[in-house]
Amino acid sequence: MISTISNRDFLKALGLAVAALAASAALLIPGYLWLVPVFHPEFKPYIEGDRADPIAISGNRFQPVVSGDSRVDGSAAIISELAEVPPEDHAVLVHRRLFRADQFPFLRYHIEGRNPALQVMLFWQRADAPGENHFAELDYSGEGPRLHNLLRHEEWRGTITELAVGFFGDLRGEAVKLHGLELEPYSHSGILQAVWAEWTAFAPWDQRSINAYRGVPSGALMYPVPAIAIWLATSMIIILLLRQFTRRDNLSPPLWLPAILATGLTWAILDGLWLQQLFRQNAETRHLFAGKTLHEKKLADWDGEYYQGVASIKELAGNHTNDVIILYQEGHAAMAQRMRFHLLPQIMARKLHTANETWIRSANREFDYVVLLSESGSKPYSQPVFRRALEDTNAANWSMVWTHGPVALYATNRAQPATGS
Amino acid sequence: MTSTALALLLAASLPWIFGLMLARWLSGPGRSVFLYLGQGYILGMLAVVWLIKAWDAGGWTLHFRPMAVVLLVLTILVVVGALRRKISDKPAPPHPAELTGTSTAGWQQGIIPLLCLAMGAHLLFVVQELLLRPTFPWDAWRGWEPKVIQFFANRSLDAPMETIGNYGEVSTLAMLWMMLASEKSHEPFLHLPWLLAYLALAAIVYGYLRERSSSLVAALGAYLVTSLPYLNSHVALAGYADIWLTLAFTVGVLALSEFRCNHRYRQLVLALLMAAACLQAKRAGMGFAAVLLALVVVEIGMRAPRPVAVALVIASITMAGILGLTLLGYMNLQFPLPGGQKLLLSSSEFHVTGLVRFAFNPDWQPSPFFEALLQFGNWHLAAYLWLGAAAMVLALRKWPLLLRVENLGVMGGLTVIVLYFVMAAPETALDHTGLSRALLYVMPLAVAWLLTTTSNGGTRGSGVASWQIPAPGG
Repeated sequence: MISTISNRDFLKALGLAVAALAASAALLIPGYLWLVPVFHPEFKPYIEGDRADPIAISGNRFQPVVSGDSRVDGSAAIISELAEVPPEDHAVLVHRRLFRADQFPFLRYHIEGRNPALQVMLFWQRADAPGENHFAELDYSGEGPRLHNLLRHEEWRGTITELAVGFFGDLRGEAVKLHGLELEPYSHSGILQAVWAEWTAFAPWDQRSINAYRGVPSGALMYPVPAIAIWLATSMIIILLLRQFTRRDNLSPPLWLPAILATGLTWAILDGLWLQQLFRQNAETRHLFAGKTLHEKKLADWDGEYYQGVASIKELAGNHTNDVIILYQEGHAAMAQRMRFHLLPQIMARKLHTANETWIRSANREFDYVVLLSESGSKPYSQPVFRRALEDTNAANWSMVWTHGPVALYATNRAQPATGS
Repeated sequence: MTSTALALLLAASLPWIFGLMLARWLSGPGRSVFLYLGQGYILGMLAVVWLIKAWDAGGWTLHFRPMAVVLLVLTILVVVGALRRKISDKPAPPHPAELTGTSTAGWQQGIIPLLCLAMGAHLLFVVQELLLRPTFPWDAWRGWEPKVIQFFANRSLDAPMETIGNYGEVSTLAMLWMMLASEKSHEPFLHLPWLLAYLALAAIVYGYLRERSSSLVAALGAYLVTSLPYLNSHVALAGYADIWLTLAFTVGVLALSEFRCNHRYRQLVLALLMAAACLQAKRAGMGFAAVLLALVVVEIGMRAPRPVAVALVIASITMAGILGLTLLGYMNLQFPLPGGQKLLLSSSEFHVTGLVRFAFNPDWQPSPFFEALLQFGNWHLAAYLWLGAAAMVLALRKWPLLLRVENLGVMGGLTVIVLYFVMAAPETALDHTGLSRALLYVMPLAVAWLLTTTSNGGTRGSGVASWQIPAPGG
């Protein structure tokens, strides 16, 4: 069937498909904007109320309250180092200003030098709850000005007294430049820009990535797949209608070809969005792991802080392969499982358990070595549950063999003491 | 480094070549090489799984070289067998594209490279993710990879450090095979079988469609499948068993579709082997193996003499009645299984002793199904197109198209998915930890049905003409 279609017929069908998609978009976009109060009722007061003038706040008007190293460059604020404050390195810049949130559903932000390891948060305080910080994470959509829908956050209401921008994570040796923020009233273009920003927002893989691919951040205005499916369906109807007008024209290509081409084009658009995600993810993956040995890759991985002790533990407890227990701080079972995985095959940690008196005592009977894991950024000894046991000679009576960051290796009183400290 | 690369190459190619030759014997000579490649990879991995299990059961220490030699000998035997049968074996009938001529217009020659380029982009991205990133998925590092590393360290299927009860055998033993070949236990390249399963899935869809339509339609099918974002995630973040189940179920159903066309009984053997692969891939594979078995019965029934067909229909209706009465609480079922295990089914649970237990706690929540199928970016437009094509087929009253085997596979799979997520695990549907994975198993088939239906209206074997809307007056 396909082989009978000439190039000319194909081009006509392609033209028809593109025209139908364009016509359909021309119908759907105004229709959607008209129906915003129905689809997104949270915008209704912003649409019906008075429109305030936008508020532009340049970067140099934000004062650093937490920062490793910051300076002003023209109208922009530059952060070249984050403050090393647990649990995560960060910098926060504050601007005090009084305005009503119910006039500004959109935030336009221009931040240069972002990377996927750096979270950017907008904080605000309200007059009705002074001292209480509310926040919104600003999606990572690449360089250049971006629009954020503030109504994704129900705490964006009342009178705002203070705005702050927080940078959390890792600057990766680059300075980040806050050119400025602009609070914008409702506009049709604002809605469309917010939708596009959400469709193109990037988040690196996390453990939920294997469960489903949602395509947009949580609370987004619109999912791309149903939106494009409606676009395609409308285009199909247009193609059918156009066909009704041209049915007496025997030279027109078959009905199904423009429909298939329209389908292919819309699929390609969705695939383009996905490939863009993959492309950004690849850049991130290459940054983290390319050109590295396995050891270096694991150090660069999300649990590198815990992994860096693995080689030492393997060396020090390597002759007691089956007599190791991992005791971890409540809520850190995943880290214990990662540690067990990394220790294999040389060491088989037979037991993983949250640290408590019972297991601390039984470790002396059943195991030669204990690996203690505390929360990121802390040391096991600093955690009350470990410290109590370690200071109670009747309970633990262990000797410390090695410690680094949130990981420590202790020999129980059953073990022959190993060398090193 | 070179020896590791060579060992990996051998570990990847040897099972594939063995499977390819086996696929040629099962599907018959003269078929699309892509079809053999798709079928061959999962057959080869099934051979590896069984070889490792047999080797361990025989009390031999697990080493790559002697097992590779055994596989090589088996491959040679299959090749020799194939060569000896070459003269006598009946070649497959030519595919429709050959019958209708192969001339392609310039626009087709332009689109195929574009599709190849797009497939290449997906492949490049997932290859980089797979080869650069250390083990990422939760289930892998928490559960089954520690088990495999113990197998590797002990050179036997013995894992004294308990990590996970049952996670299927294909993932674990495919990875063990790579570890034994490379003598490494943590390297990202050990996940190469997941990449090869992805390529095999593309190959089976391409080969299947190529036999029914033009190379453009076949390339389009391969592109649609390889571009599915959720499938890409399962390759890039290699370490879950779902891709094996997807591949096995797809190969099994397409083998049955082929059986309906050429009545070659070895296709049924292939489908049964794929049912076994589903069972060995992961626990969810039980439901999909049951769908494959049911389809085998249906296809045999359609070909069988009338008394046998009638007996099969009566047996099926009786079984459905018994199942219905059991699930409604009027009776309990109990079957002894090999190895002293028992299968128990009642209105409150499904239990295979020592293997799996699903407590039934029905809760119908349609929103997760709607989200996972129609809202999320998992499948691009595949779910919409499948629903749209089904609606169109109904509107045009081309009922037989709905009953094509690919679509029966999709509908059977969806039935299992709905039953499982409503009866046994509604919470994993609600939190979206399991639902999209299960939907992945049927998506390549949905794409295959969509394209066979739209490209030629299922003319081959179905007796149905194209479902193009006729022009007025003609």
